[in-house]
Formats: sequence, structure tokens, C-alpha cells
Amino acid sequence: MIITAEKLSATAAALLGFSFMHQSATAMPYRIPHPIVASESLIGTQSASSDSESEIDEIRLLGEANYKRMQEISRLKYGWDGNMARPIPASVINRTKDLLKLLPDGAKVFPTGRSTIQIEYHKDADNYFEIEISSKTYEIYSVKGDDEYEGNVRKRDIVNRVKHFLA
Amino acid sequence: MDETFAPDERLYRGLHSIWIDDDNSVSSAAFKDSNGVSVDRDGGRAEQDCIVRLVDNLPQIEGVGRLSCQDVRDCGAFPVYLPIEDNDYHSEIHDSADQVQIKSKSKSRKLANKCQVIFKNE
Repeated sequence: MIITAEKLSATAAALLGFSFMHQSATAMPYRIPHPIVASESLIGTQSASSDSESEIDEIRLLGEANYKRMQEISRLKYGWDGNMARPIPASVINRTKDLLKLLPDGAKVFPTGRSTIQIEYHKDADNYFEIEISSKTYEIYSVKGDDEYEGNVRKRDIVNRVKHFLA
Repeated sequence: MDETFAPDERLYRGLHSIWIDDDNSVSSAAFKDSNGVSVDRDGGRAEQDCIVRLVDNLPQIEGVGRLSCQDVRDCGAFPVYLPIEDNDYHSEIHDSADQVQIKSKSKSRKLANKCQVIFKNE
């Protein structure tokens, strides 16, 4: 990666061991005779820092248990169920994470042998809510006493349905 | 082996640990498989033999669930005897006589509720 002096911020310059003589807008920019080649270790440090920030955000938004569960699901390899289950597609994992970030606490997450992920809420034996996420659809199944419902839903309707179930 | 199942014949489902909840309940996700739900029938064997064979042959699984053929039928699903090259006891639970994949979530949940975890590798 090549950084010219014009593009180098004061902070980055300081990290690389340079300092600016003038800070005013009219001042001549600090010039160095040759482009600076930023060290890989510096780039690595910046990248690792932003990675860990996004990881912390994700743990906060998903909850620690579901963050770990999603990590586990993303590591499942072909035949993980002892038969012919395929790895869960990245699109399904991302759709599930996006949805989990919007949902109330208490969700439990499970992969299926048909390349989908399901999110479950259990109140008791007679009250159950499930969302199955594929790469294209969201399907819900709910049992509330004697009422049972199963069908496709739009993503934007799911949160309200879960809240209604939990109320 | 008899092609048909007696109502009290037991079926054993290999369970990935991710499907077994802390209270030993089984997620209905364990009964959602596009290729049919694989099980081993008891075929007259002792339960211990059925468990050992499943666990030895499927290193990925960490639990074994049990349900009877009558349980499967009560849930509206259909047990099918489908022996494979290295497993004479291999069978599958299908949606019906005509459809392999259990698409009804209600059916999958009923099967999960009937499935009793009898072995867990902890």
C-alpha cells in the first residue's frame, strides 16, 4: 500500500514517525521526497481493531449466546448432521443475524438439514413460535393454545408477530 | 428384515448436539431434512446395541433420540424401511407415502416433542 504525504493524516504520520511543520490551510503541505510504504503490521493493526469493534457490536446486538451459536452454525461442514446436510449458506446466516438483531430476547437458534435456520421462542408446551429462514423466505409457525398458524411472512411483520406472541 | 414396522418398533435418530436443548428437549429442526429424516430401526436389537451402532457409525452426532413407529404415525408422518449398503437397519421418516421431505412445521414439531433423548455424549 502506498501513501503519499498529501493523503497522510496527522495521526497516521505520527504513527509512522513524521510530524507536520505547518497546520494551516494555506501552509505548504509537508513534502517528503519519496512515497511512504506503510508497513503491513500497521495496516494489520488498523484492520484488526475495526474487526474487533464490529465483533463487539455483533455480540451486543445478537447477545452472547446467539453470537456463539451463529459462529457454530457458520462452521458446520458438509455432512454435519451425520448424513448429507450441507453447510448453511452465508446468505441464510446473514439474514438470520439481521433478523436476530431486531428480535426480542429469548430467541433460540437451530440449523436444519435443509439449509435453513430456525429461530424459536418457547413460553410453555402450548405456546411456541418459530421462524424458519431460507435464502429467499421467512416462514413462521406459531402455536398459542388451540390456535395454530403456519405460513410465509414479510420480514417487516416478524417483529410485531413475535411481540404479539410474547405479550 | 420385515418391510413393515410393528407399532411398537423403536426408531433411533442420531442427533447433533446443536439440536439438543439444555433441558434435553429436541428442536424440530432435527426433523427438517430435504432428504428425509434418517433413523435406524431397532430390528429386534437391544437398545444398547442400537445406540452403540449409531454413535460408532456417525462421529458427527453426539446424542440419540428415540421414538416409536406409532409415535411417527400419530404425528402424521410415514416410516419407511430403506436399508443401505453398510446399514441394514437404516430407515427414514417421510412426510407421507408420496412425499419424502416433511414440509409441515407442525409435523416436525410433533415428532420433536415425541423424540426422547436417551443418549448424550457430554
